[in-house]
Amino acid sequence: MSHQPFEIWIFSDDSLDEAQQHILEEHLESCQTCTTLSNAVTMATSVLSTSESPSPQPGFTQRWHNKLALHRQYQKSRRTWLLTLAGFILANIILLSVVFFDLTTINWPYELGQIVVKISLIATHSRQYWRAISNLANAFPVIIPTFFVLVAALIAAGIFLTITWIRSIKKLIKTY
Amino acid sequence: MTGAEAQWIEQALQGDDNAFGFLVESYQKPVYSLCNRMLGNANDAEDAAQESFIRAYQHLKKYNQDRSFTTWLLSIASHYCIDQIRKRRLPVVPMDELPVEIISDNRSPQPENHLRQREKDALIQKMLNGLKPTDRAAIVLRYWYEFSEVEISETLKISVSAVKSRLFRARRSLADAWITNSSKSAIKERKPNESPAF
Repeated sequence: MSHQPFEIWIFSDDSLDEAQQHILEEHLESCQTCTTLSNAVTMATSVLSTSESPSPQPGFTQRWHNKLALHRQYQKSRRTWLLTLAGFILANIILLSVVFFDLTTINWPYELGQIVVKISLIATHSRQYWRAISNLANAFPVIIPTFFVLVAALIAAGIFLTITWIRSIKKLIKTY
Repeated sequence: MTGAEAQWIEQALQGDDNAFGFLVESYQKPVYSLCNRMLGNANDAEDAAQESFIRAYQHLKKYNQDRSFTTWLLSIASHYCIDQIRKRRLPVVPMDELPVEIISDNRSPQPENHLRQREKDALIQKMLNGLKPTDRAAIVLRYWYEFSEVEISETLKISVSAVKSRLFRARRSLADAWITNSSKSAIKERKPNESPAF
């Protein structure tokens, strides 16, 4: 037996006209499957619409105020964290550009030129230090390889501990 | 929306937390109730309702005062709950293990009523858990808030035809769940009369 369009009518929210209603009723009298479906949907939706709405525990608004305060604190910490990170990245970019590029070759306005000259002086010193560190680094494996390995291990451990510390701080902030 | 609520919104827009607190006080029940029906337990519902109010406060500037505040608020809450269900992939909790929050009824403190209410809530939650998140939201808005299809489409930001098809599919699923549950109950009821020999 075909259950269409009766199934569509049973589950549709649109109201049926008189003729459709009559046809559906006639079909329901002879079809157990559609009767079961019709009764089930009526009962299920009736249970939904007549059930009581759950209420929150007393003090919801106060808890919301507390959560709002924590949320703001978290956002502030996050903003500080992001600003610090951005500052760190910017400082690195400036430092790298100062170390690797000769800024004095660019035609700067006078005031800016004075600053560039000072930065270039720092750059010159930085390059010297960089060279010295490079030479030292090159010399270490030849002179004291064990010492070099030890220093590398300490640096790696330091990086690992720093990352772990940063992650734990971030986790702590996230969980308030 | 009442005149006082419109005033609270204006004050909240100026950054008055207490004014928004009054709105939280007024709308806590519908928002919490929606979250509870969507997520299926009191703790998640509390978190979701709190978060929904924080989001509403943060985006209050986007609220168009010509529209219903309830619809706007429930829209935020339902989208948040849908996201939570998708993110957490909340498991379908077995009927007997469902943590159901019962509202104490002072007029009828009988334990039978309490138990009946508990069973009814568990059944409702079981039926709702079988629905897809957006279908569940559509059903909750249709039967608890008596929203029209247009209001549901505004709340869930989907077309009216999508609402119709989602409600159709959800009702079909609810009917199937009801039939399955009824047949299981019938088997349970028969068991005590069965012969212990079998």
